[in-house]
Amino acid sequence: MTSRRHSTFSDRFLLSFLVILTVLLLAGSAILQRIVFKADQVSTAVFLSPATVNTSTQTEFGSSWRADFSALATVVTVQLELTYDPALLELTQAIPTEQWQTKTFSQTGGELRWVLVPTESEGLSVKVRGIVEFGKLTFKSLGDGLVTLQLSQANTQIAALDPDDGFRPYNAVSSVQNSVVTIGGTLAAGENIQLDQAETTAPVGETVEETTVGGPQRLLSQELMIGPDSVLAFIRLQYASPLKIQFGQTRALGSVVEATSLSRFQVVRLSGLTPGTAYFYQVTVDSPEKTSHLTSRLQSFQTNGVSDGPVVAATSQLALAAGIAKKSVLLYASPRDAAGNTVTSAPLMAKIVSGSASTTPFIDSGGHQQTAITSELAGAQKVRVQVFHQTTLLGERTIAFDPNLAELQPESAASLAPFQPSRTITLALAGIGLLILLLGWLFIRLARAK
Amino acid sequence: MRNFGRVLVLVGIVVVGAVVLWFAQRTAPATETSLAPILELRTLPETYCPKQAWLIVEGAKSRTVTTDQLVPVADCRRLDLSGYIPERLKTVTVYIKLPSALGFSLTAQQPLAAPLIYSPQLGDVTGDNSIDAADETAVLTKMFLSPADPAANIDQDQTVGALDLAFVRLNQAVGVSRPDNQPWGATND
Repeated sequence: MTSRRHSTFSDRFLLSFLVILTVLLLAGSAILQRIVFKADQVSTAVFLSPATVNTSTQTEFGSSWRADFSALATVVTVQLELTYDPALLELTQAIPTEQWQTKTFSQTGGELRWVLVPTESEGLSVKVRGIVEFGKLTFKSLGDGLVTLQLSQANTQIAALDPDDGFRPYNAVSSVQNSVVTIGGTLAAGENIQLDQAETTAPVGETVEETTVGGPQRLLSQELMIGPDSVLAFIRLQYASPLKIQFGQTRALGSVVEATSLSRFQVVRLSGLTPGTAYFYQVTVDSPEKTSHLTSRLQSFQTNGVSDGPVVAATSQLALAAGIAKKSVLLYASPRDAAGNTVTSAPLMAKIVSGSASTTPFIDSGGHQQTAITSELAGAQKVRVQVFHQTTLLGERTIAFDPNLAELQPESAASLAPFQPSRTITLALAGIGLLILLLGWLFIRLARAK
Repeated sequence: MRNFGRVLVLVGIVVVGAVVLWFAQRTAPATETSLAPILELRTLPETYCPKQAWLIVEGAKSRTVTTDQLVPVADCRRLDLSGYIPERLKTVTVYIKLPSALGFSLTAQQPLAAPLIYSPQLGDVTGDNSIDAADETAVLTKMFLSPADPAANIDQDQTVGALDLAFVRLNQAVGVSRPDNQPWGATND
């Protein structure tokens, strides 16, 4: 008799416990997913194309104002501030592209300021994705020399809408890239490439050991995805930090592209390159507190050519923006032919073979194609994804998704500030805590009654 | 059966609790039927940090104004209204004007319960309680200047640029007037 009663109690107890636990987990995960997991804002690299120009005196040449959007974005206004040497260059024309119209334009002594808004037919905003051209500039070279068309990081802005925050405008520009013009001379594009400069980590001052966690900043890995006119650099750092890549056809480099976001995994695009040409590049990382300065060795790459195919898996390349992510990560692919040349207009497809995740269609982004992989689970998981061109498997990658992933960062005053949860999260956690306490109390009463 | 009933009650409590929490963290509509002592400002640029706002409290039936003054904004996002609303008024209308934003009003009944949430519309550079072509011109003439003109720097990010222009172009509207139809007082810090 006692045994039967005990058995009945256990079944009911187990049933009620499982039901309540499931409801609690469902409600809690739904609330936290709504509060915590927000889509990342679209980031944009602004650049002038071509990145390097060789021209002669008294000659006109064109330069395009472009931006590379990491995902679909809704843009409201854009502005450009560009400086150059007025003794060597003269701006002769500035024309916005079809969807845009000039709102204000000024040019004084080598300073160009240009603001564009959508045309009347477009309305208040324009939806864009991938590489977008805003305007064409035409310059006339006045004398021999080297000129940098320098974009202002502070005054080059793209106002895009954040759909996760009430469509509030934000500045989508994460990096700007300058352009270098050589007038009347030829740089030594074919000079020998020597990778003899070792990577150096040079702390500024003597405080670096005290202000970092586990030693100074390190460049853990770097991988290039080379295209005909652009290169993607995948940089992994010891600590989250912005970084800078200088590049050019000579050891003097000359062009620079900056990644301003604070992350351990940086993807930087070097754009406006010439197909089949050798370039030097160098990575520099300055900590936000300016306590350390890292300079990589001088390295080189050679851009490839364009091909119509067929696509060959052995030479094609896949790369992840990061191997581990909280919720979503970009996967890049470069389909190539047997000679290693980029095959343009090769449709790709991503297939999730294990794990629960969604993918977006591949979009072409200047010789590379990219897709976003988003975890569909609230918890941690590993997702394996394969990339196909028609029936040809180009490769596969595994991504570890961990919602609790925390960036390892050097200590700073900001990071030492006490955690201040928002009122909503506090309310949700307090509510869940109270429910659990209430349930525990009722369960104890239930058990005692039995 | 008795235990099964208790289990059902427990499950009911959990479901109701989850629904209450879900509603609590949702963004409330612009105008609430129940006024809280705290007004939270949402969907604003991180850099936008108003120090004070103009507050007018009016009895909804008597049309008597009991408060007409600048009040502090705590942590750039919260207005504590509790000291400005008389308890004797059952239904009140509050009028609020923030720097660079359109005026807005909320009518609610006492007693005050949950926090009130509102998303102000930014872009009123000229301070005339409307966002129009005059504000767009004001922003365009101040773009790229250093130091930034505080009036045209809507999002208070140290530069007058595309973002400020975006606020003006997106939020073109006329704000809620003061109950006496007089111009709003200056709210700039």
